[in-house]
Amino acid sequence: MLLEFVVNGEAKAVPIEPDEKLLTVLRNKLGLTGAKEGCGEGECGACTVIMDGQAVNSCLVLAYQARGKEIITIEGVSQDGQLDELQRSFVHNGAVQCGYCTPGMIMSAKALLLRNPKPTDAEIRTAISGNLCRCTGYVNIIRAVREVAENLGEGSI
Amino acid sequence: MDEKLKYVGARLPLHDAAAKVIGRIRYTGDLGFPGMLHAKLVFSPFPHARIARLDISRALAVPGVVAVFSHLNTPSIAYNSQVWFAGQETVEDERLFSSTVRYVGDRVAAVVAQTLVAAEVAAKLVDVEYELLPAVIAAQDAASFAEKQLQVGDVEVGFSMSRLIVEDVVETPKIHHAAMENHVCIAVPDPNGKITVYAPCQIIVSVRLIVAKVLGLALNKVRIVQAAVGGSFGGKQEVILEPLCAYMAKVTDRPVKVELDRAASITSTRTRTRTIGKVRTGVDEKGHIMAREVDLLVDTGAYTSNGIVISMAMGKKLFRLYRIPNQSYRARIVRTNTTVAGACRGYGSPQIHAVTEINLDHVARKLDMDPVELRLKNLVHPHDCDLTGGPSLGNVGIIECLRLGAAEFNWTAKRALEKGTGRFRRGSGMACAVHGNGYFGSPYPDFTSMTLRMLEDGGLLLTAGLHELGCGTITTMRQIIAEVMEVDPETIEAPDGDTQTSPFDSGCQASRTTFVCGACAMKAAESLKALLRQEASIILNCNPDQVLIKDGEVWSGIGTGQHYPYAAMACLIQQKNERELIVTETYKSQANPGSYGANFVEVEVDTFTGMVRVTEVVAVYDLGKAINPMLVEGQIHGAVQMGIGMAICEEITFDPATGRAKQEGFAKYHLINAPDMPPVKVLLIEKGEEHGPFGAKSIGEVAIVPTAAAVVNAINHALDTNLTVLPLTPERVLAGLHPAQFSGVAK
Amino acid sequence: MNCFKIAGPRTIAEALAFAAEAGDNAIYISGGTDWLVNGAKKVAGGLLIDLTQVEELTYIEERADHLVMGAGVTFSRIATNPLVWEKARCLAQAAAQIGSTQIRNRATIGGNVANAAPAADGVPPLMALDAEVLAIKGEIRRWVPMGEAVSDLCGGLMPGTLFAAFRVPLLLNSVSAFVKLGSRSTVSVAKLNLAARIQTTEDGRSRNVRLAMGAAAANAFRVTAVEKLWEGRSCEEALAEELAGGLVTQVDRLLAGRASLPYKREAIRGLAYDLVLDIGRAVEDGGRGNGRKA
Repeated sequence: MLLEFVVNGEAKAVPIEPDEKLLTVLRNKLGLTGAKEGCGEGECGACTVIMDGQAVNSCLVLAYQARGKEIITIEGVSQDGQLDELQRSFVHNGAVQCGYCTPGMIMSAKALLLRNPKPTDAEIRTAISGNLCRCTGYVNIIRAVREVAENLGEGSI
Repeated sequence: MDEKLKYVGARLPLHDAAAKVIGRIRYTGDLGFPGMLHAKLVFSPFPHARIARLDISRALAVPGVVAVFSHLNTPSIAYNSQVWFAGQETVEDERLFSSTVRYVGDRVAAVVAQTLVAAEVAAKLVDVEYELLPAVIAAQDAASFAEKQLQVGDVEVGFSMSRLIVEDVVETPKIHHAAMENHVCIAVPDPNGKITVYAPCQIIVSVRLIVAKVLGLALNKVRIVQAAVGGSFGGKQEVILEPLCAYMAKVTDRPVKVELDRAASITSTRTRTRTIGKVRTGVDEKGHIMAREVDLLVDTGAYTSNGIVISMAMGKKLFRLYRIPNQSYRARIVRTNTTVAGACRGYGSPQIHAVTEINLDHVARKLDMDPVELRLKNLVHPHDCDLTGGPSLGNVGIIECLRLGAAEFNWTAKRALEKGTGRFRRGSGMACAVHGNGYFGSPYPDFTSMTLRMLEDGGLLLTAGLHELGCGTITTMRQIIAEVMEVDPETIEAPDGDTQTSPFDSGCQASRTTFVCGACAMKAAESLKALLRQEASIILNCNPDQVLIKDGEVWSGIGTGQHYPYAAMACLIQQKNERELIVTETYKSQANPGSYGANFVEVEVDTFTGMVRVTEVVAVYDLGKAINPMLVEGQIHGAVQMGIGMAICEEITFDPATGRAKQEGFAKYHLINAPDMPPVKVLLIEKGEEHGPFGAKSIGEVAIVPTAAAVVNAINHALDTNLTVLPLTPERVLAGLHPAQFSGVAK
Repeated sequence: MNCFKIAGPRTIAEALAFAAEAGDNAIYISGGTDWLVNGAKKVAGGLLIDLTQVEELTYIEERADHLVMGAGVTFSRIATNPLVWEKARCLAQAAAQIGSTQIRNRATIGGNVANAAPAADGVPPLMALDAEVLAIKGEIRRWVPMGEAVSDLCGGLMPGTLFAAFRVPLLLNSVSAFVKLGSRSTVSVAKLNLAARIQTTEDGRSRNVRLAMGAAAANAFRVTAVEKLWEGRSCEEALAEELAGGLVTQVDRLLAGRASLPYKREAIRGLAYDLVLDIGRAVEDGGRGNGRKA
């Protein structure tokens, strides 16, 4: 069967199997390897992408369920090769170490800021509660998101 | 340490952070090669069994399957996954596959197929008949196969001089490293009989050694390329997948990828070593420790791995934190039919400190003395001797850590707070820690060689056995070299290790990277600078000591006003002197001082549910000099997360009847997540250390060492208990508060 | 190597048609966050009917005496919906505590109930709220009370029944609350959960009490013995202590011989206190269940 959906602003049509996950389609069929499989059961969040404006674990979405949806992956965040504000904030706030959780973490933070440009600390923590990180202890990640939230101008996300 | 440093001490981002935030870094799992096959492993469902029959015919019949491997068609060469230098003495009891499986998760077979799906289907069709053998699951039920001992003075004399003797039994669990990247490996054969292995490893020479041994290849026919690492924390230090992956690639003559899922990463790789520690401490009436005796049971799991090595490492730490005139240590190492133990951040230090720091708090309570005061009476001082004859402790800063941390944390006031008898109780605790800086003073070779070049455009290229794990190794080397060479770190390229081109390095282990590798990088940079002066003097027609190097430019100091940017000078040297600006330095570690630290922790315990909330952490470390304070803080934040987990929720336990791990995924194996992570205040004592580059010592491992003990001490303070079995899950907390209700329930 | 076929209806009628055609070897899937993890339940050779794009299952509205929502409403939406917070507070509280943000964005109220995990967080609130589920099988359309719905899941109603909607009767002066005990404070399966709904009299006492407990038996159930203790009482510590005692008796009965019994019989006290004090606070806020939004 053919999956027709939009990924990072581009229309795609990909042949899929019924039991295929969105994560493997993104990684193996579209070459978007930013999203990772860390656990395969929706606990670690390394596979997080944005689907129709919401953060989801792509390892728990059947590819077929993404029909007609708009997906944003980490590869779709930077514009014209320029890091966006959130990405820049992650870099200079030391929110990245091994980087494996980073794509999923950024997508969760991005989904939050799209919906709520001025989150509280508690809201930031809740937004990334499903993103495990073993390197940073979340401290600099929360700082990075908070900095963007504090600086956010109109329409910059 | 008074110089105005430009790059050392700067808060620079990780060298590849930008690539990571756009998702372009390719980890091993993201890589593919033409014709690559996918492997799926079959694991034992039993803790101890002989494989009576193994039939691969159904698996082979699955379309797309290329080969199936098992003990029947692979070499039975024994090795030890921890071995990293030739001639290292150890017990070699691991094989690619055994005809006897020794734990649930032990390797039974591997299917290699064109697609992962085909391999997964076929893996379920490998028919295995097992003859069950008796299994030992609990460490206490196993007979020890090795022992390690250390002693100083005479503990019996010491105890006889003690006014108070306090004894505890502390247990630390098997822990999953929980790097977000699962274990993975790709091996690629080439038509000249060479094998290249891409792996997120920690010691490329160790991988090479064992792959070559198992495959029967010369070392120079085995190329190990360190891939981008999605976290390791010691979990990828032992050589686990690589020999099998390389063998399968060699036999099929195709690239082969082996990637474990989370369950297999938890149960079939390595865990932190479990310890059960009996500790007895004697103090005089003033609180001076007169004697301490530690008897440790060390559970190394089904294979020897690093069980003996880590037992020695743990013992040594006992003699490097406090001034204890009489102390004895004995470790009995056992094997159990459970997941194999291996290196894990801190390499035994978190365990041995849990045993002793929890006990010291118990001593403090019995003495009715403030725990900080008790520590201050006994901590080592700068340049104290290690009474076992170990290397000098160096410029010890633990007392400063304690004083600074206590002040920042408001220790006295917090401890004086009324705990009350309400549902929620607050408590404060602390713990001290020591860890090492490499292998100097041990039987293990600790040296590294590095080649540093200046290219024609003035850029620098470092060739070394570097292992970037995401903690900042490459950035640190760049900053050190940048400082010496007076160039922007961005102009320095320091790629990950590759045995084809990297000279020998003892590996990313034993906290030697900054202290030893960094020192070598500094030495190489100084040599390069000297060579530049030397060669430039020929161009400038003066003496080398008349060449000035300033801000990335080379000046003639004899008043001619000639000056050249590095690039121009490098070109001239190449063209006119016909010399390349290249140096190779071998640096042997000169010392092994202690890196020290203390954590102060506040907790709130819900005495109705047993849930523990860590509300505040102050973490202070004596690390000599922070080459990059932002990366140092990052390491400490992450270590505290791990330490809290070790204290209150992380454990891999095994069903005594089936030998199966009860935690096979993150649904059951809980890590501290963002909502539960407390604020962490980091303070650094930077008073320098003689042999460290710019005075720097290690931080990555010492960072986790005091944390679990500090959290447990805080909980015991909150509840007026003496709980000593980690982790203090809600169940254990309530059992501690209501022992009568929980009697008869297995812990 | 697919082991099932998949269909994506756009309406309830289409979904039912797919189900009728496929017979017994078809199951409905919604967010899939439970089912995709417990892969053992794969429908080998059968049909998976994906309900996630059936618009008719995604409304939340007030109709006369009921709050009604489609079974396909996600927990994110429930946790942030002002109407739910106002009229069915315990359900909103439960929704906010299910899984992580990513899970809540996919998991649905219908899926949670149909999956029928013993610790399902959506069930105790629905029970406490006297909710009913619109169950459709073939030509039959019936509003089924929660107690019957979950017990039937263990027996006759499944397979083949579509849960289309839930309705909660709106009562005057009613307040509800949900509490949960996990292994950690967030993102955890419940070891125990409780939901309660009361109506308050003029002097702040409780009447018409419903109390449901989950994670202690095959399904959540109404703890009628303990509801009786609550009738006529005001929501304060003394009540909490008594309820705790009553709940311990339940836990002792249900988990006899289980390794988790010693812990749960102690810890339930914490939940009892959390529940009573939370409802007490909500009563003081005007009896309208003004909860925090997620």
